[in-house]
Amino acid sequence: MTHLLLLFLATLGFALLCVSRVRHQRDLIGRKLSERTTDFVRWCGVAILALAYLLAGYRFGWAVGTLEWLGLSSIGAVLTMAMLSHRSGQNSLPR
Amino acid sequence: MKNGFRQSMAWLHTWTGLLLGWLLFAIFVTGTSSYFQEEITAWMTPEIRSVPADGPTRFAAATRWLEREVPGASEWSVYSAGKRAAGLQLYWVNGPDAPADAPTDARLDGAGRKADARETAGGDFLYRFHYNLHYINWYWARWIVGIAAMAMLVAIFSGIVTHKKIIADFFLLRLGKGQRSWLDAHNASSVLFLPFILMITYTGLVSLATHYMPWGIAANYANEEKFFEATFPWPVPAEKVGSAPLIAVAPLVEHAERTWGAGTGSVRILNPGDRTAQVIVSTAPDASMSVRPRSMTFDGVTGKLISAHNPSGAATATEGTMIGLHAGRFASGVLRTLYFLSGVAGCVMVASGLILWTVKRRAKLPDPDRPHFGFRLVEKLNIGAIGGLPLGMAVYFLANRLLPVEGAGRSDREIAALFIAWGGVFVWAAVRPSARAWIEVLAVTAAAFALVPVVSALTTDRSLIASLANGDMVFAGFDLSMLLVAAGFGRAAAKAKRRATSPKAGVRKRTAGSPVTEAA
Repeated sequence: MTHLLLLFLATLGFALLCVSRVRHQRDLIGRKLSERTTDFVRWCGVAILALAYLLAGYRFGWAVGTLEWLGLSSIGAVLTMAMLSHRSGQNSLPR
Repeated sequence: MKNGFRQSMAWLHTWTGLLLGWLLFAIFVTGTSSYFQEEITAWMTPEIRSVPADGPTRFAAATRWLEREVPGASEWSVYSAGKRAAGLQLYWVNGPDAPADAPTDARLDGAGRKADARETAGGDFLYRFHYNLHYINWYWARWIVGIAAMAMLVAIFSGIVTHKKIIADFFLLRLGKGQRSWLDAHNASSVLFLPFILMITYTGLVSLATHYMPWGIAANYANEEKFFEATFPWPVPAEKVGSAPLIAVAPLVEHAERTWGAGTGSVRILNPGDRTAQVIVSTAPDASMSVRPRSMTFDGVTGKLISAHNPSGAATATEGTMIGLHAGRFASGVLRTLYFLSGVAGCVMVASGLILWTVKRRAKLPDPDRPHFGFRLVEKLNIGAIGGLPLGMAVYFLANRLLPVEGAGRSDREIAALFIAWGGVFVWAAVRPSARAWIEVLAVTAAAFALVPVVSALTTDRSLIASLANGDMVFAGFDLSMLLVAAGFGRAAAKAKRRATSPKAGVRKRTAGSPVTEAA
């Protein structure tokens, strides 16, 4: 269960980091965000990834927790990348 | 050298990557499969179907077996690879009365009976290949593997420097755009998995550090044996003085496991049945992150604790933990899967890098239909290295099911089958046009992997359906993984075919029928 939650947090964290990149905003959410919102989203992403690390360390111990967090973060980043790749394929059609 | 730091790093990245990439791919593929070494071995010995008992029970059962079969031995040892291993490995040193050719080892299943299984090297072979290679002397093999790992480290760092937009392009994967897509795939598999890839390369070098840098040992010890004696003490049986009954082993194992809070990996008994008997209990390989075991030595008659050995010292702990981190034996289900997936990413990184070398240069060829020798050589070696080993592994699994169960040298023939298939792909790549060879090799590999569960169902009574019905996760997982890998290769073959049949291969920017059709 913790693993699923961690994977969710890692994916959400990276997805927010991805949204905070101006060049991806149109593909991911269909519009550009203001600079302030973009900054806020970026910090949310970082905070969620940090939270996931604390949770992993608390649940599995800092040694194994770090490994679990790194591994799940990689998977979360891959899922984000796949989502972006899929959406930019869709969104670029009408443009 | 070229102008500028980044260009020179790009040059270094390209050529270290290319020259050792083929070997690195083989090391990565076999190493990645080794995260499921025990499961592969279990699948390759389908006759063994027992589930392992708990530590004290199984070691006690093994001791009783040894007591019955080789009572005169001067030393018994019982090994377990940990919780996931199906059986126990037994070794003994025969007493002076035993004939010279008497056996000195046996395998027991989880229930403590002698394992009556087909002879196979199983997952062990793939594991050993990833640092010892095969058909050549292990001493030189480890040097070759070490040079490859060092080149990998160079390629990683020069690659990070070369990658101009590591943050800006972090999430980018543009599909169906030829060279761009290969570069994106190469970047994604290396950047997103960089922690793992750095760790695995560095700790891989550490695990063979004393092989590559023996001078520290040479300066402080008379010879390597003295060093290993001091670092990993290995008591030998004393002179026998007179018989006395051996104490029951189970309570000792239980005591040790309670003290450690970890499972047992081996029990060695020196002079069993003698007054000088000693029982040495050590932790399992999967008991902690460090690979260096803790151990307890008990008096074999009274059961009194004589000594406890706990490898300490910062250097030992660091080395042991780094090797442990590399091998991941401590990892449970999810983490093991993450290790495996990260390893797959490493394979993708090496393969996409090798393919990128040709994709990049094909566009610049003066006459794409008649490329120069160097280009053709790389193209052929890519097919042989990237397509050949996976096919070889599928054939290795098929041979395990198809070769006659009886007969000496069976495990060697399984291994030979792997290399014949692998070598065959090199020959095939050499005689066929490259674009055709890619499609054919990928398609045959897909078919071979898809055949594995089918042949297994026909030759054993442990089909995928039976395994699923029995809740046998190891066998069902193996068969399903084979189908997944087959699907992956099938998809790759289909993609390669589509590319080859589309009007102008190579220089074209868009792939027909791809999901990405960006208006230029």
